Amino acid sequence: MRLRRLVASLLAGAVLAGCTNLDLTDPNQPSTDTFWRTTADAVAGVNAVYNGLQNNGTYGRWLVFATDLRSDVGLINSPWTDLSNFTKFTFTSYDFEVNHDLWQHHYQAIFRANQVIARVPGIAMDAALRDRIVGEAKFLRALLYFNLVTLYGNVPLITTPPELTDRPATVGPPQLWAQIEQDLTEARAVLPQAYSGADVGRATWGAATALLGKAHLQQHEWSEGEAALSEVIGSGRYDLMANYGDNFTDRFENNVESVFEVQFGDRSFLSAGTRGLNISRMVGPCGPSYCDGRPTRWYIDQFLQDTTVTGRPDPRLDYTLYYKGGSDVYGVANATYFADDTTTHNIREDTLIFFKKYGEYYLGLRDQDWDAGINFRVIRYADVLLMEAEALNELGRTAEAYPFVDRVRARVTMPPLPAGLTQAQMRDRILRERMFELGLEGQRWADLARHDLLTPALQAEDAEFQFFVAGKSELLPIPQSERDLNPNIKQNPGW
Amino acid sequence: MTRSSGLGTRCLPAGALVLLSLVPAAVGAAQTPDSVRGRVVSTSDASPVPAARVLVGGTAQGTFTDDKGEYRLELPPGARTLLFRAIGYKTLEVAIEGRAVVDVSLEAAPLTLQEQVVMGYLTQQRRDVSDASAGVTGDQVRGAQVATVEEALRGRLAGVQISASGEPGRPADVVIRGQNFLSNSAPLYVVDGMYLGQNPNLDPDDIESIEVLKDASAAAQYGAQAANGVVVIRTRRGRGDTRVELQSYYGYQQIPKRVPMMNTTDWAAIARQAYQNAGQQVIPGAANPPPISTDWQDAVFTTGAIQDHGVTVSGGTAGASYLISGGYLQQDGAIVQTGFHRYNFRINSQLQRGRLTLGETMALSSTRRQFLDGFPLIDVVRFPPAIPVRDSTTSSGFAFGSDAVPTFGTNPVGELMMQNNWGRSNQLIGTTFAELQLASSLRYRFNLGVNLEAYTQENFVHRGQLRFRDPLLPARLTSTQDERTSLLVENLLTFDRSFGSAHRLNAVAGFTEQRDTRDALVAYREGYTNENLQVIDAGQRSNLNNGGSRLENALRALLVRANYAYRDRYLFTGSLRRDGSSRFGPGNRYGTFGAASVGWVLSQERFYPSIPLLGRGVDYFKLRVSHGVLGNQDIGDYRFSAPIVQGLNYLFGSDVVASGATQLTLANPNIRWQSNRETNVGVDLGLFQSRLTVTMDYYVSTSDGLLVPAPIPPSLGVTEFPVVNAGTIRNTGFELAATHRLERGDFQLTTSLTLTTTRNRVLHLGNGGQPIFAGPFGVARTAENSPIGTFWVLQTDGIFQSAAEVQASAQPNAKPGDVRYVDRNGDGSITLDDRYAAGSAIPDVTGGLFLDGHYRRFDFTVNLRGSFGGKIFNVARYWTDRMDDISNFRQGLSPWSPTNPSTTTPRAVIGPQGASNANPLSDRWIESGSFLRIQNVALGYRVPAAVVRWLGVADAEPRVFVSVQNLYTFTGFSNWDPETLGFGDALARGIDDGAIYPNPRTITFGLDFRL
Repeated sequence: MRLRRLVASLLAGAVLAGCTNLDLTDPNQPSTDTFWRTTADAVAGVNAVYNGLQNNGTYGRWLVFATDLRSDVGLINSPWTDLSNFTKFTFTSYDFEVNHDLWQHHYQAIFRANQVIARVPGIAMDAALRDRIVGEAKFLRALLYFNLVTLYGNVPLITTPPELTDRPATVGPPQLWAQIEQDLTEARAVLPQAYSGADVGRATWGAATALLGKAHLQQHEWSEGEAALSEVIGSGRYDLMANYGDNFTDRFENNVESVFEVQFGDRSFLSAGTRGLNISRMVGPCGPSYCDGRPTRWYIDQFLQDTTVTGRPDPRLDYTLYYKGGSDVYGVANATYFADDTTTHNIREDTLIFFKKYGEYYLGLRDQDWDAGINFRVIRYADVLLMEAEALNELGRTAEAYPFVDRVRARVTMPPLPAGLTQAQMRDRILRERMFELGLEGQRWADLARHDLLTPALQAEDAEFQFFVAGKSELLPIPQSERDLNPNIKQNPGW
Repeated sequence: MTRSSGLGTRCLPAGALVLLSLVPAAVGAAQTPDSVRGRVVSTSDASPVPAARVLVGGTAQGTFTDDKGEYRLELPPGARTLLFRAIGYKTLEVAIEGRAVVDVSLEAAPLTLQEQVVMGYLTQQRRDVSDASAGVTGDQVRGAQVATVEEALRGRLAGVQISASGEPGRPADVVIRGQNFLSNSAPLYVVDGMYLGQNPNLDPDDIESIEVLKDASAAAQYGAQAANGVVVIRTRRGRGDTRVELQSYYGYQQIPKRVPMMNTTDWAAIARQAYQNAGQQVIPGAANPPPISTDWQDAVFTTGAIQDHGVTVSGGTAGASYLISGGYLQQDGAIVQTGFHRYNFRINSQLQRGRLTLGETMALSSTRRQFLDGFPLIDVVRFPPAIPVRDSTTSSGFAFGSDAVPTFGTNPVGELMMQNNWGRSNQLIGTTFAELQLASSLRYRFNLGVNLEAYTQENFVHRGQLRFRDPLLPARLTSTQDERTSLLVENLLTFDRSFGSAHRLNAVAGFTEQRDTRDALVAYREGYTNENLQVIDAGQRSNLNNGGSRLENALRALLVRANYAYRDRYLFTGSLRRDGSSRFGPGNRYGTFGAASVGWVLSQERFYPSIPLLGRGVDYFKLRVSHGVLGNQDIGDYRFSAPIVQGLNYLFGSDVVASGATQLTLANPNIRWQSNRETNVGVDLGLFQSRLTVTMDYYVSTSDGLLVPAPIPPSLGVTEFPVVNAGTIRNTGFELAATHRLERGDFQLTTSLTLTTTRNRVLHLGNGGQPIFAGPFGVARTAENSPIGTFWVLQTDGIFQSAAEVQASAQPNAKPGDVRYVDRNGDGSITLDDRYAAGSAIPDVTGGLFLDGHYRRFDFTVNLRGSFGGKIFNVARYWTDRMDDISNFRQGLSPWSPTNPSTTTPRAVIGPQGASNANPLSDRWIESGSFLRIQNVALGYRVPAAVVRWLGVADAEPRVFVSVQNLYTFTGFSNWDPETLGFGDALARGIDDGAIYPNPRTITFGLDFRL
């Protein structure tokens, strides 16, 4: 009978249907249960830390806003009022995008580094490679904390993958510096002098040692700093590029002058999961870029005070800045771009100067794309030479400092420093040299801080310093979202 | 109407005419007999309906039925129809067609005690229900002329808060009995037995009834998915003679309000002040304003249109029934570029042979939604008026400012027009069942349900700049294919029996399984040389990108539910359900949920009439109490493990891509069910022969082990917040629903009132009670002992008028003209530690008033809706009133100056000196969100058959109607619409954030035709 058959099949269906599997695992990605087991996992893990350096708040976009535009060489003149306020030491919200990203993206990369440092030692793999990978992660962690301590001063120190309930407390610079030094010391013990092929760009012994020197200098530990820096110089691995400008295009990346670079790719690499350098899109010339950030008139005036051995302006000027009478602007003749045509720019001539470094003007495009394929130079050999000079001078060995500064100057045909400089004069000359050599390379804020020069007096050089409050503006405010969620965080003084 | 005015019918939209042409011509009318008699019974149980009014159609002549439901009536010449009305039943009009005997059966009307209520797995009579629930009928939904079902429910149901946006096709936000979750807000929808986690895209014309299961006892049968409440929807079935229904309407939509903004002259005057006060050079556009004054609202708002046409054919015999319907809805938004359309088809049928019943419901729909892009409703107020809309010299053809008028905003017209961002959903929702009568009171039912959705979203962005100095990016297309398959298998045993006259038991036991799979594919291309070719293949092959993923989850459960009534006096309902879900780790996979309710129909007691007052005045009195536990598993898939995220790559060597992968989130393997414990006390009253029915409920709902994406400090470096069982929320509320039916001769009026109060308190939060901040600037704070999403801001206290006032304040660096903040913690300085709770978006009281009336051939509806006590954080106002920026200013804004000692608006000063006035975390941007809205006013007229005789359809009496929705809103809120959805973040409601879409005013003309 049909009905009976139907009933039977219904019941059968009912029984068969009762086998839905509740044990479903994520088909899209592995989980922590199965990761951190192989060599490939270890390599992928440390690569992800490098990837974290490309974010907006690390080297991708905002860092130079804090280090260069905030300093006396730069300013912000943007219709984005909150962005303009940033270099005027003013916030309508401590969670303002730039401040928030700087904080969050540094800590995101630190979380990645901490995973490598905690998990990779437990992986059964080639011991040398394992040590190297852990060393790379320690170098990267130290670099990230170096930025945090110079920008924020007092921050939580997190060195292990966190638990959900962790609410890390603020610690002061001494503990942060100690961790940075320890990480770099351990890193340089295991990192190779150099890499080849598809590993070029990873952290080296030289990078860790140079950063260690830098860290000592920032703490006025001149002799320890000098020791590290002279090791780098003594290694003979590094030299200056013949042409200064070759350090700021994508054509001579990871060159002999490069101690550590953050690698960037242009927009054709976006789909490969990497990013480009956004700096010149934000702070290049008006038209090709937003020109939100600009050099100060004082900066260019300083450039023009010194000339080469043949009486010409410092060649570094034309690699660093656009100004009337300088180089062409993204294919537009300088005379045309700076014709002072009020219909195109409507900006007073004295503010018509822009940053050029890290721009892709040489590609023949009229506009700067968001993602420039130029690596950001974190530490260059020129920086190492000038740091060595600075350490020697601070140790009272002023005479020994000359050759290092002069070597940097000679590369760009600038005459040697005048003989007989006092220690104070030499200190000033080195700082100026760093300003010309390393413009927009993330050095200026730490340089000024190292010599206690961050004061309202700088308003003579950069009018934005009229808003600088001593005892407050030296450090950025801790983002409100951190304070709201972490009761153990103290806000920086004055904020 | 006369024949010549039949032109009006001819002017109907084409769609309706096509539908009309499908109508089979009927034969001419038969001769009218002298008298007619017959019997009136109830559809539900064929019991006689006494005291029903029987009227000759179109006249006041009539009679009443006797105790046996019988009547006899003399007919005047020309009488064509009879009208049957009875309290508690739907009014029915039938053609006499020459018959001498006209027997009819009346369907129970809404909200009455005899009504059959679909309470999920079981159907009960309203009078037997001891749970808390509220419902509407399809007629009430259809009367609203809106695109979606939820829009029609606004204000109708006590305890159900529905906020809709004016954005065509955007689902409304439905919150049942206060927010007891911190993530997903959607209730569970059960459509003809099929579980749907998302708002189903149903044609309002297809609705038979909607019942919202509010308390634990009603909802516990849905166990782990019921914590947000359950909406049980039943679609229409065919019954009786073949019937054809046509419905067609056409309407216009406009944003009913403009926020008055400054013209260029006024804007430039304040912008000049702002620069001069800062000691800066005035921008040329303010120094010498151009002869342009753009009203950006006029540029972005437009006259939209809505049209809806539908046809339903239904019928049935004792053993079989069918219903076939089709509909088309098209909506052009009141904001340029936006729009929505829906095609839908439905077949519901059922067949009974002997002990076996087979049936199915199947709905096919295709919708297309053109999205609102960017933040046009912030840019529409902040974009300076000195910028024109269009500029032929730019790459996009849209103007966006210059050095003369620099702005950070994006041209809102360009933002909408330069993107073609649309989503299309093709969806099949179907159920099929086989039911076998095992014994006289025992049935076995096998249910299969399916929800297939193929969703395509394409976002094509044209090449062209829309913002000052933006890079000129190539034209680009992102195409997303999202395919969703949800399956349901159920085996149910239903028992339904009366034992003598005293006992009535109905019960269900079952096993149910669900499986949900989502497959997504995303593709990206750029560099379109011909921008009319907006498909993936037309793009360049460089810089392409693609991705794909799959999400699956499964759930299975055992359930039992039983209703027992003793002598119609004592009512008991109990439910028990055990769920297993793949969303939790192996150790926490199963949860048991259950609830019970008791009802006592006091008015059935012998002693009841002797109770003073009650006994005489209140003819029906039922007390209800329920208690139970519900679950929530809505946390997304695989959240108990921490994934290793791939694609965190880097370039080494000569741009060699090196794969990177790591953990970005923290895992919480211990997450378990959230359980909501809910107690409800209610009373149902019937007064004046139940002409007035009143339902009142009071509930306390406590959610424990709240599933929360726990915010953790950014310093932990985690990108996504892990879900934890943290916290307890308590909602308490009082609900009142009253319906009154008035009948005076030809005049019938139904008045319904709903009132809902909500009190929401977070009792406990995990992570040591640490508050959660959400929304723009983290303005919405969820903390212990306060409502979810409380606005947490600085308190302002006017404007500093003098240096002396500054001196005496906690703001030593302020200047006269600056905003004064209150040093609430008294530490002598103003920091964010001085923030306070400035209210939340949760209203204290919401309500609706509905008047539905008939007079002879006329019918009318008036619907008022209100919400009181909620607050709104007005982000647009932050941009227009911050005064340290030259975004456009609101008209009438008069900044402080020594000669204009304003107490509300600070001095205009660009840049850092004005920054303290521009603090976004300030109560300057918090406004009252209370409103009273005339939601709908409608008038209908049933056209006499004689007027449309030329159609050749006998006795056809089309109804024509006109309605105005959102006629007027009484509110103090300064932006367009206090009913705001914003981004829809559950923890940050009531934020007017520029992604809003004001509800338009709609004027609709339409036609209903039943054959």
